[in-house]
Amino acid sequence: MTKWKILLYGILAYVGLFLDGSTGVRLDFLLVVLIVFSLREARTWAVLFGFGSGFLLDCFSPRFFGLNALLFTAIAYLLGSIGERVYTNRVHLIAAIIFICSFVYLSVHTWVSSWGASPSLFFPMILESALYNAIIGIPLFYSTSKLCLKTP
Amino acid sequence: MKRSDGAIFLVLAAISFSLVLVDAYIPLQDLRRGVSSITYPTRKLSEFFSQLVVTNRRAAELSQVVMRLALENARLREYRWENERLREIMEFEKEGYYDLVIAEIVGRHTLPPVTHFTVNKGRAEGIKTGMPVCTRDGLVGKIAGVYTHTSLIHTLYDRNCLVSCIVNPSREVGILKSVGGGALCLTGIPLDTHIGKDCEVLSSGLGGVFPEGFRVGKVESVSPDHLGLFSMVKVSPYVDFSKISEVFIITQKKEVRLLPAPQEKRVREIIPTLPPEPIPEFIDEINLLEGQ
Repeated sequence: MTKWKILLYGILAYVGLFLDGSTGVRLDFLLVVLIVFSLREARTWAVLFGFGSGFLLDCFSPRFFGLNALLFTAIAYLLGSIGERVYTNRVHLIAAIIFICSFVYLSVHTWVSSWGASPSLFFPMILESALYNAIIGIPLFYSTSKLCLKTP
Repeated sequence: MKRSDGAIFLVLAAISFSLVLVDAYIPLQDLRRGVSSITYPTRKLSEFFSQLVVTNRRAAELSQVVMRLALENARLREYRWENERLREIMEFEKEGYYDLVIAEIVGRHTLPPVTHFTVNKGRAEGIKTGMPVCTRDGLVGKIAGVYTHTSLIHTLYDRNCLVSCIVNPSREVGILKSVGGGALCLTGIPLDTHIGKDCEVLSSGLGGVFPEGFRVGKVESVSPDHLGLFSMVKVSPYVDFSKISEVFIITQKKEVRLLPAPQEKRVREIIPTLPPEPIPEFIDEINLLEGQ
C-alpha cells in the first residue's frame, strides 16, 4: 500500500461517509468503495479498511453499534479472498459482485435494523439500491485502477 | 500470511459483534458523541459544500422565477395601464388603493358568534361610522360607533351588518346577512342558481358601504329557503373572528394612476436577468419585448 493509495481511498471513504446524509441520495458509496478496495488490495488491508470504515459508519448510526463494522469486515474478508481470482476486465462480473454484496449487506442490515418487520416490505428498496450501487461501482472500480496505476 | 489474515478477521469480527451486543444493553452514546465531535469540522465542511451546490441550484431556479415574474409584472403593468386608459375612455370610476388604518382589538364579544369588537382607534384617528373593516383574510364588518379613541365594529355576524355580495364564477348578486345561530346566508338568490359548494363570495360594492372585490367567504351549502321561493346559500367566512387580534379600517379610497414605463427601459430591466440560454416557454415573450 503506497501513501498515494491510502490518500485516494481515504478521500473516497470520507466522501462515502458524508455523502448519504448530505445529499439525500440513497447510495451506499462507502460500501462501493469498500468492495472496490477489497477486490484490488491485499486481504489484510481489506479487512482493516472494512472494519475502520464500518466503525466510522456506526458512529453515525443511531442503533446497533458495530453492525456495519461486522458486515463490512465480513464483506472485505470474503472479497479479499476471491479478489485475486476475479478477472477485473470483465465488467459484468464486477457489476454482479457489487450487486450481490450490496444486496446481502442491505438485506442483513435492514433485517436487523427493522427487527420484526416483513422483509418483503423492503425488498424493492434493497433491489433498487443494490442496482444503483452496481451502476455507480463500475466507473469507480475502473477509475480507481487508472488512478492507482498513475500514482507514483 | 493467510493464517494471520484469518486471525485479524476473527478478532475484528469478534470486536464488532461484541460492540453490537454491548450497544443493545448499554447504548454507546459517549463513543458516538466523541467520534461525532472529532469529525464535526469536516462534516460541517462537507455540509457547506453540499449546501453550496443546493444553493447554486436554488439560485438558478430563483433567477428563472424572477425572470418569469419580471415578465409577468411588465405584462400586468401594461394591462393596468390599458385598463386605466379604457376606464378613462368609458368614464368609469378610476381604480385606486385604499388608505388603511391598522387597529388593535381591545374588547370583544366573548361568546360565539362574535358579533362586535372594540378597537383602539377612534374619532381622533379619523375613523367615521360606516367605514368598512377587513383583515388580510377578508371582510370583517363595519364601524358602528365612534368614540374619541375607540370604535365599535359590527362583524358580519351582526344582524345590522348587511353586505351586498357577488358569487364567483356565476356572478350572481345577493345580500349577505346573519340568520342567527352563527350562520351567514346570501339572500335573494333565485332557485335556479348555478352557485355550488366552495364558490367564492366577494363584496360587490353595490351597497355603497363596502368596496368591491373584497373576499368574504366561500359557499358551504345551497338549499331552497323555507318558502321555496329563493335559494338559501350558506356562507362560511374566510375570517376566523375568534382569532383575529388586529384589523384594517378602510378610511378612504386613494386614486393612484400608474404611468406606463418606457418600453426600452423595461426591456433593459428584464434583459440583464435573462439566463444565457432562455428557457423555451419564455423565448416568445422575450422576443416580443425585444421587438417592442
